Amino acid sequence: MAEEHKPVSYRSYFVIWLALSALSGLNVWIAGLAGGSLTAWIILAVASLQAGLVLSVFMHLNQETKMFRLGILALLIIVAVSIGLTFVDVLYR
Amino acid sequence: MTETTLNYSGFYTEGPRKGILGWLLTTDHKRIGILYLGCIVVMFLIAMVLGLAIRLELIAPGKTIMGPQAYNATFTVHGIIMIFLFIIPSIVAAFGNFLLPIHIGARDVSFPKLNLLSWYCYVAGGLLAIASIFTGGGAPDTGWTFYVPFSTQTTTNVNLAVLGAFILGFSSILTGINFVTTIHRLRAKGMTWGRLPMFVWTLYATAWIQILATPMLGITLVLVFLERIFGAGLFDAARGGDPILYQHLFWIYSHPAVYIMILPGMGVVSEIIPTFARKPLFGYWAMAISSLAIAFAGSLVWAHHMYASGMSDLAVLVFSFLTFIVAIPSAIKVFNWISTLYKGSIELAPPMLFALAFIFQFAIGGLGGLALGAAASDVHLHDTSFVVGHFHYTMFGGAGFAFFAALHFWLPKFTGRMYRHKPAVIAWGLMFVGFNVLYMSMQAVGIQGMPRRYYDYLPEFQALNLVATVGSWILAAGILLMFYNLWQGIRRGRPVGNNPWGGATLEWQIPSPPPLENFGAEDPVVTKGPYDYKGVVADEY
Amino acid sequence: MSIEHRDDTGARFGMWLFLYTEVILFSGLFVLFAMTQARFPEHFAAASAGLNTTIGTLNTFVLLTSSLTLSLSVTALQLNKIRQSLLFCSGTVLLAVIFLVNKYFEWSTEISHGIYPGSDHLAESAPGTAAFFNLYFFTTGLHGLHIFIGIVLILTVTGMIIRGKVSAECPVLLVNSTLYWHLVDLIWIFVFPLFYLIPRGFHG
Ligand code: HEM
Repeated sequence: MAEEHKPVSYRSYFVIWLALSALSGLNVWIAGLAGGSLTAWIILAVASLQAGLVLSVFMHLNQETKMFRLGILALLIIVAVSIGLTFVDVLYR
Repeated sequence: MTETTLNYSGFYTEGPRKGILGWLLTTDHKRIGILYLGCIVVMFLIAMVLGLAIRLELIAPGKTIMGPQAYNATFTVHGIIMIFLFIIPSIVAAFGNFLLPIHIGARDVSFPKLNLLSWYCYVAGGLLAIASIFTGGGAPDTGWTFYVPFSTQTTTNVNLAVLGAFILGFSSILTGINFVTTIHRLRAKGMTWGRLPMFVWTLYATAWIQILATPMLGITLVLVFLERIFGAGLFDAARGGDPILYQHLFWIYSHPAVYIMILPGMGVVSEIIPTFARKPLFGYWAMAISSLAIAFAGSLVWAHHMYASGMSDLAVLVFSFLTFIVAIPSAIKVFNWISTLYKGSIELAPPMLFALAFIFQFAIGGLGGLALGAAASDVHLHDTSFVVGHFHYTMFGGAGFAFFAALHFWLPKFTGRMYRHKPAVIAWGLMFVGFNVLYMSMQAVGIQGMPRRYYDYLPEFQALNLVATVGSWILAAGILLMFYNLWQGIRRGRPVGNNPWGGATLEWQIPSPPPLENFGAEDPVVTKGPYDYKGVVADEY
Repeated sequence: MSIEHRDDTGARFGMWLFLYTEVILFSGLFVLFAMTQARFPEHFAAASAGLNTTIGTLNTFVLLTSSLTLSLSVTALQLNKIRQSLLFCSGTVLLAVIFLVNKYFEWSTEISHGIYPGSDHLAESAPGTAAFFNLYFFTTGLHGLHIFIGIVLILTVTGMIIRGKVSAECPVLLVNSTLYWHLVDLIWIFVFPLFYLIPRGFHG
């Protein structure tokens, strides 16, 4: 991987921005359609997709080395563990 | 011992600025390490006096030297200082800062200015924590855990203490960020991951915990602070809150934090044992991986502090099971140290004695931890002085003794002078005996049912409490002798050469004290592992 | 290698590590949110329906656009188009201010209805409602604080671009501020659905 980042074209940024806006619109629309946990998971999935776009393109993760990605993996595991294991308590009281 | 002057003073005299500003504005990792070291020792001594006062109060039933409110404040402040201002920064910030760059062949850490900022955060946080004792509605009396609902209702000065701990968190995070980046980016040529000294591996694992766990404490303390200001009922069951969730958030940080305390201690011991057994560390990769495994497994087990809190039975089961997993990598470490000692040519120098005491006491603390980790026995032992004994065995007998071992091992490198060995051994003996008398009695009386955090107790607990208090005096005598001897050594010990102990890591190949930028004009090139003692001889001193 | 040695990758890596700490900071609030949502779905539905989704959606677009402009300013700087880069930075600051102004109007309406942490009105409402609004105010408040810090950061870097301290050869400070700003955006990408969209769907 290159140590220095290549400039990303204005165009690609615009495309990502359009996609992000569309996905936010999509989420608002989905929320208006139906409720319940399935919808909640879909909305969270869409938000995660947005997060992936921001991370990889806006934040240049696709140009960084493996050590950056390992860090994010560690972070996500810790967040998931904190929320997941706390649920083991709260949901089963 | 003859008085001799040093003809070389290394980084103490080199540097862009002279005098006090040369210290207060320094970005040299060695000077920052020394600044930390000074503050940390002072903090330890202050909190030690409080600890002795607690013990003195407990020498007999009823009021001896203080009443309930003073007692609550004393153990709270003792806990806050010992945890946030002594043991969490101790080895990482003092010895890590000084040694990590040298160990990996670098000239400084990645972000020297942030490093200085982290020291200022430490000082600011420390001042706030100490100010909380004298201002507002009196010293905080919540215990170092700031449990709600009491911490949101008491009129004592919890606000300042919480703010202080929050800022101390920043200090810890900045150190963590610095260390991870430094280890990834600044290793010298030839310093592969397989050639890192074990101390660096443990600092690496610790730094990840500092980064990924400390902010959880930050947000928890902020919420306590906001709750005290707005009275919004965040943790008030009547308004949709849940006090048990506070405990979850608190321990999601504070349990991993106990590994911030112990891992660097394990690293120190992993340096000392091979040096004084003249054998390579047994099972290098098992040791390195188990450090990371401890760091990871340690973040899965937080709720074993909460078996008696009223959380769900399933959670008790799950966390009890997970807790036993942590024992595995810890045991790997103990076995590997023992295997390193096996058939080594052992030299019982003072650092080695402290390291051996570490293994002994940490093993006792760890086994006691299993008794607490099993939910069935914990319900009986919870909130008794068995718990107090247990965590002193791990944090003090473990991490604290590793800190003292590190002092005896590296102070000659830091200052270029050797302390006297005979008083050091006597001090060690006093501390070892005093420590075990004190905390073994507390564990025993805890099993009989004596609760913690009370200034008074039933008469049947009298005998063991008396023994414990006498133990605390022996311990304190040993500590004072140790610090006196080290201080004398710093002032007028005999000068030492580069390598008084015969170590094989990089710091022993440069002058004592090290020069500015550590290595001469040439960057070091590493060609052998950290425990390759072939051809390494100790200098006479 | 000497002490002056420059390591842009290291600097970016350090910034990422710092961003992890920000994520954990917010995830503490997310833990509280998730647990309370699970306990009081109906109260949360009612409370969330009281939020102004229009302003929320608008602010989402404002923030996404500000992320775009700041990214564009990095590319401009890398291509040595200083003037464009400055323009995009100023645009970002403008959008950030718009976000805060919207937030101000949103909060003041709620406060004028007696909804704020510790208010008597909330103390008398259903437990889940009080919990929802407490978390809402603390989370968006903390996020707003981050927006404010971001504004200060971007203004500082803009000044450094003008003085030539940050340039095509040495862009890392702008890059790191951009990373920070994107993270603030990222957090909003989750805060918005969590408070405005998801709870509404859980009527009994
Ligand atoms: C001179 C040595 C020390 C003595 C005599 C001492 C004594 C004590 C005693 C008697 C208690 C129990 C108070 C009670 O529950 O009623 C206590 C609590 C505690 N000690 Fe120590 N201690 C010493 C050193 C340390 C060290 C080195 C650490 C940490 C590394 C430490 C950390 C703590 C903590 C966290 C508590 C719990 C405070 C609380 O309940 O909130 N102590 N100490």
